[in-house]
Amino acid sequence: MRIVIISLVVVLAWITGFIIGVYHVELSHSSLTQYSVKVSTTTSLYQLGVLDDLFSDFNNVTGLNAKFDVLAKGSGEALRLLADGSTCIGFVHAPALEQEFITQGKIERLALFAYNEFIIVGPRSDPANVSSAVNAVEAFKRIYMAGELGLARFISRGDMSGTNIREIQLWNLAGLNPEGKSWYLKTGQGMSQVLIIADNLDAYTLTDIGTYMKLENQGKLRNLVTLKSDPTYLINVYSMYLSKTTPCDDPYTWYIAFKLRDYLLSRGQDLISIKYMGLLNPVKGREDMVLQAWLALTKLS
Amino acid sequence: MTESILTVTIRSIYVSSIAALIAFLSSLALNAAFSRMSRKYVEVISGVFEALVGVPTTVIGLLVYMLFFPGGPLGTLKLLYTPHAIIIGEFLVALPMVYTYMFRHYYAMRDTIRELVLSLGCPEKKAFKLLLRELTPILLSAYFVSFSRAMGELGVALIVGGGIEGYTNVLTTAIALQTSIGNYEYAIQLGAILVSITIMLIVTMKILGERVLWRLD
Repeated sequence: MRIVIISLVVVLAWITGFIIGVYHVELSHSSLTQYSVKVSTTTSLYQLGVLDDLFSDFNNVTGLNAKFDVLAKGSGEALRLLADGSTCIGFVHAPALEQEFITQGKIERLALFAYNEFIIVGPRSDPANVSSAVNAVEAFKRIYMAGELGLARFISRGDMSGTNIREIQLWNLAGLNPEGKSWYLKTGQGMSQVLIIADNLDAYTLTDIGTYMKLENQGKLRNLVTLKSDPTYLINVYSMYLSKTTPCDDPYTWYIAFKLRDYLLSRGQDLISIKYMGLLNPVKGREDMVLQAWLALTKLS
Repeated sequence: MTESILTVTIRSIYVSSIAALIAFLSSLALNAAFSRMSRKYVEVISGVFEALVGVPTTVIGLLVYMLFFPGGPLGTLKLLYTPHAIIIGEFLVALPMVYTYMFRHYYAMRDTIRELVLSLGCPEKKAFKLLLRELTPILLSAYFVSFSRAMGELGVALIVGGGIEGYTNVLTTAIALQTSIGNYEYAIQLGAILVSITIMLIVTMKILGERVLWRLD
């Protein structure tokens, strides 16, 4: 008899728990009935917080009540999700990889909406003397030489993110292959983690300026300083993409996507330039320059 | 992070307790089904399950992604990036572990108790009842084993859940995301919450469960 009572109590507890749980999930995502768009983004934009600002301002201005489900991933994974149709809108910064997916006909570029730059950061003592290099390619050559001499180390993202792809392009331009060297450490981590690792190991790394400034301002980097910036080789262009797969081929997604594109290229530009000065630059007025830079980057292998 | 820790925690408990419940019930059913088979086959099947205990959760996450992504065999269900997808993935993560746990204890206990009870002159039917009673605490802790396994896994929640704020963000994905943006302090707070919740829940439930069971005698 007792067993029956106890099991009844357990079952009842479960049912109440279940109902509360379901209710809670529905409540916290009341937008289930409302339309939501899945967005994959590079971690750098997510970390800057710029997307949240843009989305809420977009909803305010247009009066649309669109819900954006944001997945923060590296550019490589973000593009893969777009090509699968798992997400419909994407914000990425890996031109060479983007070009691949565009030629496969899986994604469509809606806008180049912002740019900033990559910088080479390293230990204050600068054993490879990167700060006196004439450009980024020569800086990479110096790091290679110092690495071979056992003076310096380089931390690579190693995850096919936008930053990682740019780094590989630079090694190719320098005509060097650091793969498998003992001073060349591939981590497979996000940008912030790589910066913290580089800081702890007194190593060099390539980073986008946004992530670096964010960590620097939070006082998390003790020993890492900006050693080389180079507007020609180190421009970092953020683009917005729409997936051309069937799951995204519905009028509402397209409507939201093109509305968002229009917003990004008009009012969004002002928001970026006012609120993210020094971290992110709007393309307004420099569309040609940014497009040329983007095209040049897709041609690098 | 705009979402409160409480919401994330509640979602975490909800998702993993349901996944654990399904895993628990199905391994109960599996064990019951296999207990009639000859011992030789059961050992082979259980060996397979034991080997699966160590499969990385990321691999299971990728498998579930392959099932549910829009071009996949179950893509039409639109389950990707919902809590339901996480529940399915975490069920697969927890199943081998809870099955193995139950199986080992069940067989060890069945033989000793049956021998003891039958040698004391009890009828077979009563022996079974006694076995059930003795097994109850084990079933209870089997459930908690699967619960903490589901609660602590990351691979599935990250790949098929995506860590969408306000929808599929659970404690482990929140920790991973905060770590990847370099917010180590916040991530470790979340980690402390995760550990203390698992410990608190399991210890209280165990004490309560044992109190109730003690009264049975």
